[in-house]
Amino acid sequence: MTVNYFGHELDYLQREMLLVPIYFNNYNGNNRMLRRPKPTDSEADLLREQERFLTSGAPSAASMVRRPDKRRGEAGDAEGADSSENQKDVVTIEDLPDQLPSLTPAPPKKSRFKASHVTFEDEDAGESLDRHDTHISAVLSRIVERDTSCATISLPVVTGLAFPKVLHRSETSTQVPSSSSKGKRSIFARQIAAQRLKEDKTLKPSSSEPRAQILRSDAGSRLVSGEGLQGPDSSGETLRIHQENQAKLQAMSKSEIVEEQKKLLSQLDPRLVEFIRSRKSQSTVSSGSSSEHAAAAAAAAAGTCSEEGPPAEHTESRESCRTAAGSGQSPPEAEMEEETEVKSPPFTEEDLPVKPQKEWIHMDTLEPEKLEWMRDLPSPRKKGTKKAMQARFDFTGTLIPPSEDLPTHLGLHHHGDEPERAGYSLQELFLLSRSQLIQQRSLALNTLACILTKARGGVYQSVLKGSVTSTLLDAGLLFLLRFALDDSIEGVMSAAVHALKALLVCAEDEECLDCTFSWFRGLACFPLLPSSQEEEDEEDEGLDESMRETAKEKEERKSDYDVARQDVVKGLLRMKLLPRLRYILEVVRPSPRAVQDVLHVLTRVARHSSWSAAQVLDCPRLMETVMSEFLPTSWTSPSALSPPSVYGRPVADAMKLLRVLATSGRHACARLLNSLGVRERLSCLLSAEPSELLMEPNEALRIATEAYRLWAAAAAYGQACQLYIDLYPALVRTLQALNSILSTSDPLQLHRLSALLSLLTQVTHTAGCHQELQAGMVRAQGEESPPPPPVSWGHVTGLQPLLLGHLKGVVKGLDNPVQRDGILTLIPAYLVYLQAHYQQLSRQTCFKPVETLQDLELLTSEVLLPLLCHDVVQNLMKNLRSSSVVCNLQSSPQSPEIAPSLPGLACSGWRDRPGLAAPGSPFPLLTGLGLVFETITEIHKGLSRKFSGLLLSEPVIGYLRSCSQATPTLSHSRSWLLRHEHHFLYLLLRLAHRLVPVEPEVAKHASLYHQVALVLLPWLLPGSEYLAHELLSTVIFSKDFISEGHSGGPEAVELGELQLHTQLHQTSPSLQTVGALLREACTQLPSIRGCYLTHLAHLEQSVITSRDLFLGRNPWIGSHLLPELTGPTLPSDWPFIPLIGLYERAGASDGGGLAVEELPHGSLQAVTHCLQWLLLLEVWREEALKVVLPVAKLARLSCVFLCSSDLFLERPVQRLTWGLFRLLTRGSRLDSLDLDVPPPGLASFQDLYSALLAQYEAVSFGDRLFGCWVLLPLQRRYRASMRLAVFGEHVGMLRSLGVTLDQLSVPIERFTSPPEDSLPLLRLYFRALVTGTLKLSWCPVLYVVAVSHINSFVFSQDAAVQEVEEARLSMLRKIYYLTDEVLKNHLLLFRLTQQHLQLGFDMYEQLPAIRAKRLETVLCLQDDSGA
Amino acid sequence: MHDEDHTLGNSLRYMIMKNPEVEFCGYTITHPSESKINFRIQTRGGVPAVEPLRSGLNDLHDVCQHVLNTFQARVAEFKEGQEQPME
Repeated sequence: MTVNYFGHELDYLQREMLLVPIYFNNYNGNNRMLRRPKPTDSEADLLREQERFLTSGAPSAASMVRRPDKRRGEAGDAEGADSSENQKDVVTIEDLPDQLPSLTPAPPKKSRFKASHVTFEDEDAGESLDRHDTHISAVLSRIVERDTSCATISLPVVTGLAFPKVLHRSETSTQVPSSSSKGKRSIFARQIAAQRLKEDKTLKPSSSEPRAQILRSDAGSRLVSGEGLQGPDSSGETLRIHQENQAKLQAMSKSEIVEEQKKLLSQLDPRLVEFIRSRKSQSTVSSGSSSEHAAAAAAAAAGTCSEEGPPAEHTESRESCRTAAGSGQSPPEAEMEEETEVKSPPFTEEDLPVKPQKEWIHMDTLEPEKLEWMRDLPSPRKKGTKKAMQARFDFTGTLIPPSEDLPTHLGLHHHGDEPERAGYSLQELFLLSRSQLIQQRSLALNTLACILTKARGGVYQSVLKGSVTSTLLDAGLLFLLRFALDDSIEGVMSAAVHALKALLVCAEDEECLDCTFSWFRGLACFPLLPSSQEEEDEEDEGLDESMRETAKEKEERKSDYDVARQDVVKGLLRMKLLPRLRYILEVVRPSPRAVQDVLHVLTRVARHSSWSAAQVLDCPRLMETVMSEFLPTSWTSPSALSPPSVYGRPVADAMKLLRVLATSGRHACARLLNSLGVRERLSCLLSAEPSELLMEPNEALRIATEAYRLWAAAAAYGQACQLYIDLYPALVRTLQALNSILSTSDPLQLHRLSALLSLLTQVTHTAGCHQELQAGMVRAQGEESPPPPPVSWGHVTGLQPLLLGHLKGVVKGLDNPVQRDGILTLIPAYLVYLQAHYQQLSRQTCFKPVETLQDLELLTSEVLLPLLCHDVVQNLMKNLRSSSVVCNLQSSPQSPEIAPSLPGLACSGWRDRPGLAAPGSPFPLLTGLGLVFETITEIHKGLSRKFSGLLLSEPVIGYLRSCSQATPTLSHSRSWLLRHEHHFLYLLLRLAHRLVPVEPEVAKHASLYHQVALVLLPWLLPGSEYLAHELLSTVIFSKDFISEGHSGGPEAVELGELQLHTQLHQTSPSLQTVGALLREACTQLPSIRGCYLTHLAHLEQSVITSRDLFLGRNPWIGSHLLPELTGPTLPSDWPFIPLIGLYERAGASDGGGLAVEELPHGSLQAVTHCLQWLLLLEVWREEALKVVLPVAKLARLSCVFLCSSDLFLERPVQRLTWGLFRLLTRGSRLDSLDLDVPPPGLASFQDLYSALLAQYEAVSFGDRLFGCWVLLPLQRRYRASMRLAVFGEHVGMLRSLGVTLDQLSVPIERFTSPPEDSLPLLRLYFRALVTGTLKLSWCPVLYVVAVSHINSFVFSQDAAVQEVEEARLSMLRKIYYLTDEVLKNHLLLFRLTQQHLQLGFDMYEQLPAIRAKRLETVLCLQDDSGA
Repeated sequence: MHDEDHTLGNSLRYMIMKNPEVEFCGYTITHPSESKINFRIQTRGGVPAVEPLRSGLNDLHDVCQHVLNTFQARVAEFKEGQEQPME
């Protein structure tokens, strides 16, 4: 828009300025011929100098270009900048350059504060500073001299005055009518304009001239700049070109234009098109506002139309770039300005609310721009909801749709980025939460809390992009809340506590966990730790253990931010959350809601890990405050008069906090009981009926429930059992009230009863261990051993008849539809109790088998079987598949709202959808039944047949079938449910294990059970190691479950293989042995089992820990918090473990050079067993190995060769590996073997292959099996790099790779087609053949491959690049002159690969005509060139 | 073979592999920090494996001798050529 004029005729001032570039020009030494101007030079000298310079034609070293301002890079911004600039009045005094030459190639300084600074209409201080801030480098850059030969230059006007006339304000308005001025202009500008008008009038009488000039300056094409044109009249030329363009355009019809346009658009670089469009948009916006320019703009638009696209498209593109500006971003201001500018008529006197009176001073002129703020807000956009918008929320956290026009009295409008839209964006809420005003702070925090709660519930999932919680966490919400917690104003502080609670705690998660408490092992739960992504720095890799201990120090050195980013709870603890909460509870004493929030937050912190639970316990005076204030030993009844306060009264949430703390570990529980006085609280709260507790009834029930649960947790460590003896009467009294509870079917009462039953279960377990501990203490004689619990078996035997009676009554009550739901929640607890009772009973010395057996038969016939066959239960069983987690992975909604640093269970809405914990799920009941069956059949084997109904029922079998196909993934939101489902599956398998040998009906499904066992094993989560061990030692290697093994299965396999043979015309002796191998494997199953169990021996400690948990050996349990959820207990490729283990111990360290005798003892046996098992699985249980990729299988089996120098030569290993090789290279399997995928645990297959090659070269003795193994990855469809490795680095192995085509069961076509296209590889093939490294007698397979590829390459007709063509010719020539006639014939006459021929391929009798001709031409060519 | 490494191993293997009676020949380094190599030879038709090893060693010795002789001859030649212009 601004042009710098550099003319020849310059006045003195301009020359002074111009001297600067010329000065540097000479200084740089580019143009030494020219003299340097001196201050003493006269004007004539200078002009002469300049003349000389120009005639010399030397390029000016410094050229001046006006660079585009970087800040206007984006098209969207450019509009805004330009439109605002356009409002500036540009005063053009024609004989002066209107601007100093812009010499700012250095990046303009960007000021962050600039946007917020006050700017004046006509001069932006920052901008002007930028403009004048020129650096020396600015001058040293390229300066282009413009051709100004035809620019209009006017001499200064001769005036009669020495100085310009003083301008008086009063004159201005009269001089020039304001209507003629375009927009608003400064007084000075107006004066100048007026002056010019006058001059024009005097000089040229036609007043249309200025307009014409404007038109002319604007009508020039925007695209044709004429920059490349030489000659004196370039701008004229430009104009001519432009006019020609226009004429052509006018001659074309509209459709033609559109067509041409399309053509251009398709040809041009899209970036170029974008650039042109942005130029267009700049110009249209800049000219849009002024009416006088409209005609010019229209002309310009028409002029550039051919390159631009129709206006509609143009606006579209603008629209799109605005959307691209980002989601959650406000639309660029430019658009808003434009809108207001266009829409609003100027303010008039009538619009004023108060009419100015005559006598008011300075109120006579209306200043509309100062009154702009009084306008009404524009109505929010009705359309355009497609594009991403900044999310705005109201005070309850509801998302406000952008098109909604809410009334302003709701208080949701404010002076933010988009004043017309109601609601607050997250950024604004963040800002407000650090406001000076208390109300704003608490408002923002409360709104944030509402948003977080809703986000947890998944409300925004469909509406908003990304997760609100993680966005907030990334934005530093945690620090914000932590600051806000320190606020001295109670309201703000409690709002912060509320927001923190909303962030950390999900009420439904807690409900779910409470709900499963009375299930089998419901007491235990996974710590809610983020799954640790080990980002250990590489620098630690090489250091030894002593150096590694600094990990803790490193942890301490990490900043709060880093810690909080990985683990929110840990971060909060680092930020001293607990002392602050203690202060809030003890000193601030906030409202009941805030107290409950604090307690919830503490509960969530305690759930994080046993470490965090210890932190809560260790925090000075925190727990003491909670105990004394919220669990007092005495309290008064609530009176309506006193203000609501929870201080000095028992709070259920506090009890729950204690329970969660107690679950975290034995030691924590003991501290609670003994030093914090929980024991007294328990006896105080539980000795009386809830109704007598002087509390609100519901709260009393809740606190009693929590107290029972806390007690159950304590009893599960064998603690607080004295209390059981003390409170026995009260407990029995509660139990006796069963009928009244059932009749009310109040969920709180039911919860209380199930909590009580859990307590009794745990007490029974503890009492069952009394004898063992007593005996242990006697034996230990003063040594360290746990003391026996105060309860002995005699204390708990009385409970069994009572509870059994209850159960009978309850089962009968199932017929009553009113009580049914309540009963169904209670039965599992009863069943779990019964299981505990019978399990412990069988271990007591007072165990009387005969009586017990009678008891059990009675129990079975009176309770268990009626229950199992009951319609309600049968109906429930139909839900098995729909409520299973394992089978319904896809249908379960993904919860993106859970940030990885803050894991949750994602239970929102769990009641409404089918799930494991939802009402209507058969899992708790069936697990309970399975437990009882398992225990009973242990004692009374004869009863097991009676329970076959469970296993054979239609839904269970269907469920097992879908389980065997499932592939669940692991995450916090599932694992807590998966754990319970695994229990159920395990119990079913245990039952099957008992039934399969005795019940032929069940045995029919044996392979299904085996399949389920095989898939279940790698699913099992940490803490279930005992189940894994049990499965391994019973079901998995049981002969009964491998039904194929004893009913002619191996023979069938043999027959199948034979059939395969006849089809493939193969005669390989090794194939027929698979059947024999299988037979052998089946007889050796027990030793195979032993082998695997020894290889998993490192898990022994965790197996013992988890066994204590599962068998209820309470006094030995250290913690009910399960181990951290890192991954499944066993890797999915567990059948390969012995092989991998051997490789890691022997092969990797010693480079595979050890002989079998040097290997660890029993290695050969272990490898044999491992291979036997793999063969068995591969033949009969293919599905179970489905999760292991074929490439991973190949890689793991390669360990057979790598781990020792002659292990693979051992006969059994060799036979088994042959068998596996054949199985892996069956037609369909070969296709699925993709070597490009890096096998898990390895960086790439390539590295492994190099190791294999080296090993082959060194120790193979030309072994055929090893040879086949090495050949397999050389197939054409795999990467050439592996073939290059063979022919480049390991050519030596070709000497002994004597595998014949027959032995390699892979069709040779897989190696030869399509023809090789890698030139280096072809050269290597050729070299190996010609030098005799690759001989038919040494390596038949690769010989055929190489000959085939060279042949097809040499005679290929395909066009190729010159290099390839040359290689082709030279190779052909070399072949022709070969002295080795045999090889020459093979290479020239090769026809097709034929696997059954001796040679491996057949040949032409003589060269076909085409090839012969080609050969001749090639030779002739050479002769010619030779001659 | 004690106190040997790739220097002997690779060249010896090369020589032995030239022997048509040999079916397989390879060597391994037992451990990078031990100076020992294991040498493996497999022959055809009941020839004892020591035979190709012995002949391989002899051949290798001959080859080395030949290389040395040729080298020395050339060096002598070159030196003569150097001296003559000096004179």
